[in-house]
Amino acid sequence: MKNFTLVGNQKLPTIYLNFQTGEMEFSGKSIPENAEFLFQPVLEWMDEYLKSPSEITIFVIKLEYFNTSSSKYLVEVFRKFENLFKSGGKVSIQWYYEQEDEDMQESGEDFRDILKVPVELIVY
Amino acid sequence: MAEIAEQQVKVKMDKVIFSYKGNPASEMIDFIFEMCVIKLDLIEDNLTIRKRVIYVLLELLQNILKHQEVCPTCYELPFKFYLKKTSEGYRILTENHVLQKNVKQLKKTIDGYVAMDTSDLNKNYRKILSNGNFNMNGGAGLGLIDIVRKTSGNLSYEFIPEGKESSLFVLNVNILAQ
Repeated sequence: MKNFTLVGNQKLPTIYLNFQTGEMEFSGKSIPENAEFLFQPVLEWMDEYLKSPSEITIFVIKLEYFNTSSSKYLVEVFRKFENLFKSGGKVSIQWYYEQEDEDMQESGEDFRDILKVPVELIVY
Repeated sequence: MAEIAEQQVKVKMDKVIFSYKGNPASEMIDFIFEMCVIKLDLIEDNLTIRKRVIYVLLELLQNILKHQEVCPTCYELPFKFYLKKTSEGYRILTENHVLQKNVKQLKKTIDGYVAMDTSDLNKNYRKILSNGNFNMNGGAGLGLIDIVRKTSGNLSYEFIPEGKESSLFVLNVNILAQ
């Protein structure tokens, strides 16, 4: 299995998924018109990763902004970890937002409300 | 009379940040969005407001891209847009054609969201966010409710009939500076 790396641009986020350390990060902007094109390879990578996950999985989300299509796929990505968490796996989703960005904070609260894995809201 | 005069003064004070009339091609929508973001970065110091305008702008523009409908018999241009700075915050206007058969449902959806209080809006937003469904054109079905949520329902719209098959959908959204 290989690590997953995508260098971001004006519309796509930088994505780094490390299968050895369990460190994963989305940063930048995620505003593609076709979010499936962006997230399908990520979801497939997750399926492979979950066959033999790292002892600890830490998912860092540090997005500047994202569209609603991306938010729906992010739910799908996070859902992949619900079973791992339920079966005793150590999973942490860290949702970063700027101090004054109330809407990004609210988005983090949305995810925390609907997911069955811990979502930590962190100001930066 | 005084109220009308006051309103006219307010409208005159509005400052157009960006406006566009023409085809809503994907590249043009990207360009409009990027230009608005650059200008907002320059003029709006309040991060909460700046980001909120960007979020709403993004959803409005991508909605146009996903739901644009062709009206070959219409004289009006297929898409109009402006972003203005007003005395109360920001106003975004979009105009695009919609098929007459979709007008009733669109009205019902917008009115339904606008009538909801914050708690119901959040509850419904989270329900749609978590349902795993995508619509035919790959949309999340969250654009309109997100716009209503972020603007606290501060929007107005009208459908101007353009013959039997189409209407011009005019949407005015206000983001208030708190």
